[in-house]
Amino acid sequence: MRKPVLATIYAQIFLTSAFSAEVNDYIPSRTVHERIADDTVTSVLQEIEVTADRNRQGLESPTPLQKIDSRKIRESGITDISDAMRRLPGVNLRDYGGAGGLKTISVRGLGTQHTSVIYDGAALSDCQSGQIDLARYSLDNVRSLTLHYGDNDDIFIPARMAASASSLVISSFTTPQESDDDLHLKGQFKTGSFGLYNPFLRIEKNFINGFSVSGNANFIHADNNYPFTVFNGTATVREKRENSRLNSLTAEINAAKRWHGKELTAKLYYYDTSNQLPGPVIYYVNESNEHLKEKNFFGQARFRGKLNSSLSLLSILKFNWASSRYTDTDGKYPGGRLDNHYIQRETYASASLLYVPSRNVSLDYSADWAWNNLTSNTRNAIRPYRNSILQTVTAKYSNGRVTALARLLYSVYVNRAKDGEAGKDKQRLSPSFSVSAKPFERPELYFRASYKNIFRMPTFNEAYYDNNGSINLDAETTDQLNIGVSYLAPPMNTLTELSFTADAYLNNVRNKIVAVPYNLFLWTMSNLGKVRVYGLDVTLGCTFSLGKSNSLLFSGSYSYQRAQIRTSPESADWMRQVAYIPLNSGSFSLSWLNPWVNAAVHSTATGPRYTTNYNIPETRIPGFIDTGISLFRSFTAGKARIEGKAEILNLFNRQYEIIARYPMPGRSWRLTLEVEL
Amino acid sequence: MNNSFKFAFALTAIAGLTACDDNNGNMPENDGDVSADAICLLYQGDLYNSIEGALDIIDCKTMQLISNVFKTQNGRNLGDTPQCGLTYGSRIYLGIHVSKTIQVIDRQTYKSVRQISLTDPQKGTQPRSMVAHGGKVYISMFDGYVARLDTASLEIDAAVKVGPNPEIIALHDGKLYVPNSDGMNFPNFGKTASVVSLNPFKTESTIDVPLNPAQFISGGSKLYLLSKGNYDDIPSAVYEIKADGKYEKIADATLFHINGDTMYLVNCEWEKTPEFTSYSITTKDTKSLKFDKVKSPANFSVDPVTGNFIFSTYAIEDNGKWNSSLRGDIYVYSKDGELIKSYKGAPGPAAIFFNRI
Repeated sequence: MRKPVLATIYAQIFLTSAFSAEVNDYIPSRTVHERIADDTVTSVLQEIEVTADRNRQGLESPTPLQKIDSRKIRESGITDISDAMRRLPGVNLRDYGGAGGLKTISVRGLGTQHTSVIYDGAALSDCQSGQIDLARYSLDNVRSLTLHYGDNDDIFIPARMAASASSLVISSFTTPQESDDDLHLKGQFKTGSFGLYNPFLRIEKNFINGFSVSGNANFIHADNNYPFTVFNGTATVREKRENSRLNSLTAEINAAKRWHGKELTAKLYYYDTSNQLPGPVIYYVNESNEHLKEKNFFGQARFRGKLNSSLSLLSILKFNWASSRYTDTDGKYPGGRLDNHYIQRETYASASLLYVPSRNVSLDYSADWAWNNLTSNTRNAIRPYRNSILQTVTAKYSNGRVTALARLLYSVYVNRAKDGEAGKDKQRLSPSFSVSAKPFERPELYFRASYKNIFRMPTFNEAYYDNNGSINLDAETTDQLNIGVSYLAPPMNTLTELSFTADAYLNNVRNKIVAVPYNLFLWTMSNLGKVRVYGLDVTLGCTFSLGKSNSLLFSGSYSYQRAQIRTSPESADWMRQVAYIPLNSGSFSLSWLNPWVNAAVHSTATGPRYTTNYNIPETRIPGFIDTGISLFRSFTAGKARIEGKAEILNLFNRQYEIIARYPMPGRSWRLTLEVEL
Repeated sequence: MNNSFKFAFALTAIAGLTACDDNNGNMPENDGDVSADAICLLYQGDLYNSIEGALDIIDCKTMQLISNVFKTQNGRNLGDTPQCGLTYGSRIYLGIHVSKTIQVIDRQTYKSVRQISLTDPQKGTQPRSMVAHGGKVYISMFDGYVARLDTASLEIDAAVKVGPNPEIIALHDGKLYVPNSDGMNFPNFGKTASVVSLNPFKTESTIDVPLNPAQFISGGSKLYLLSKGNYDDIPSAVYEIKADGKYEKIADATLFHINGDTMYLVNCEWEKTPEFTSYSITTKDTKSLKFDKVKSPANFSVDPVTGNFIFSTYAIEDNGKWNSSLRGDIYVYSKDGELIKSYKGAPGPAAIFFNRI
């Protein structure tokens, strides 16, 4: 029995990369919502960046969250969104290497599909694979990144944002940062190793009557032809990644209108990429003809505002269209070529009503509807579509010392297919509770506990993908328990800020969707898996003031993640660690801010992992430490602000892999010049 | 509070995570002993999980297993997804599918004689099976060719187009029979075989065969074909292919082998109970056989010298699930059906062939 080995491999790779995740919703700066809930007097619309305490973010939250704002991105030398994510505790980054390599995250041992990504208020969706490629989103326009572990601590959010096990909220600069009515321009050019050229332009202007417009465009060319080493027995061979060129363009237009405690924003987004795929490293041959072209367009509008002194409305409309075309040239395919073209569409509408009857209590009702479909040119395309109706009722109590939040989500998923049999429908109630308490007035020490029950629907790949999908799949269910502390120390001499968080968690996954062999050549998806994850996430942040305009910033995290497979005591993977999840990982960054040249050094470390759930020794991938440095400085020249930045990534030139056979780049450099007018 | 302490702690904690990893190719132990009278067990490994392929041998004198001989003798990997091998003349030829290469090794020492990279898509690049004849090795290539390797120059000197997705070929009556599985066109499998003459080396005709042809074996005067059906209502079976283009079903089977006048058949779909049968090519008598230990057969062959049966199997987990990514067992039975010895195999059993004196 040895035949379409390749077919199997291809299907497996496709499925596995398609394996992880679902998608959700958004939220802007959390402060705004807090203010809506907690202080009905304050204007709803001031998006106040929390800058007073760098480390205060998430302190009182009853559920763990990690927030990285644009200032921290700059100061700690974060290179892209995936780098920001892998520095966070409990986050496992899957990275296929290079600027064009697929980058997805999974949080606390749950699959990628359990983490939704919310971009400027609305979820990014991919009903086909259920995962969002973070490589698509540039840091250059990011205002903040917030990762919510478990439930969102905010009450005034769309129902969909509560419908995933964790969520990454990406908030970009959609409105002018200056309040004047001048035309502001930001131009940036980045270049670096392996043929990287990346111009970025942003233009923004305020008009009269609270109307503003901004636009940005980002183009990336990267050859990604970086060298790597093949360890082959006693020999080591230096090779280069081939067929890895990336060209991508992102363009966005944002408009906003603000009046009397109300805000209406609209966004048009377009993404277009042409990406050669180098494929896995194969012994003795280095060639690939794989090519991926992706296009994504979406338009969204969002209204948020107070209806009266105790009632606020948040409403979102979105339309999304995404095209993905994968081609490969190889004599083994019928006609010598594989050409798979998928198009998916989404229509999404959401309304949330916030009622704040008293200072301490707020209530929210949110209702969301989404329609998704998928069409393709593949033989078994049955044109599946899905209607999702999600409703949440949320109550929050907060008196400054105690915060408690309870949420009930009612989900209805209706699956249909135009040309075939559709997957199962689903309806379910999903509760979540969280509480945080500050026992003493001082110090600022908070204890928190939370529980969340949620599930994810099978992705369209899992349900319908050619011969591997299974329409009999049930949802994959998770339970998450978290207890933790967060602490913010009062300033002590030179140590002006010190924050510490520690969270222990227990996650259970039932009905985990896994691929099982029907025979050697045919795999099918099944709800067989059970996983229990217990772990510990610790963070520490410190700021030392060393005199005027001279400070040291430290930020570190450590994670322990034991993701046990508990499907059956009789299976060979019983109690083994889930593939690709390290037991230990951690990161730190240390920045020196000064009047001359600012400097940051940062490292992320990941322990050894296995490529299989069986943890057999041949499949062990060694751990690694990736260290980088960043030097940056800004000047003013007349009205212009100029910033220059030099970075060295993977300073010690460590050869490592996150995904087996996909080597990561060795030492490389990047230079960035930014001009703001 | 002592800040420098905390800082040092954090750094140490991070450094400690990965301190003792190196990325060296883990070489198997090598005591230098190989055998030129051996059963050869070829494993494709598991590329998706980054398990490389391997060649193990069983020394026919001592009946000891010597694992990973290609790597121990050559200090490097065999390659990704080995599929086929044979012994011819003083050499062993190994076809490495995904690595697009032929490893030619000495049959005495297993040391590399030459590695042939298959770079020309017009001659085929993805070895699937081999037969040898008249100083040439003929290799079916999954990307649609039968290539001819000249064993003197060790170069591919010609290729003919066949396919799509040719599988295991056989030399019968002076011609090559090539099953065109069209496996990449799943579920619309192929129904043809190509007949290739050797002199001149060209595709002579295309004949109709049962759905999803996978393996031809010549039984001397008769030609047999294993066609795998559609993995659904059309079962995998062995057929006799007659000269007039008609064919006749012998029996349902998923593996088969011919030794002399006897055909051996294994019928065993994934995770089912295997049935073993012998079939006389001359009398058409069938007889049921027993190999009790063999629960999950992957490949089998019959030692041409001793008549022993060699089985490679998939690993079976305690819950009964078969697993091709784990190490299954190898069983050697005598021609009378007695278990002689068993061994631990390697992931992804691909083929069994012989390097007998």
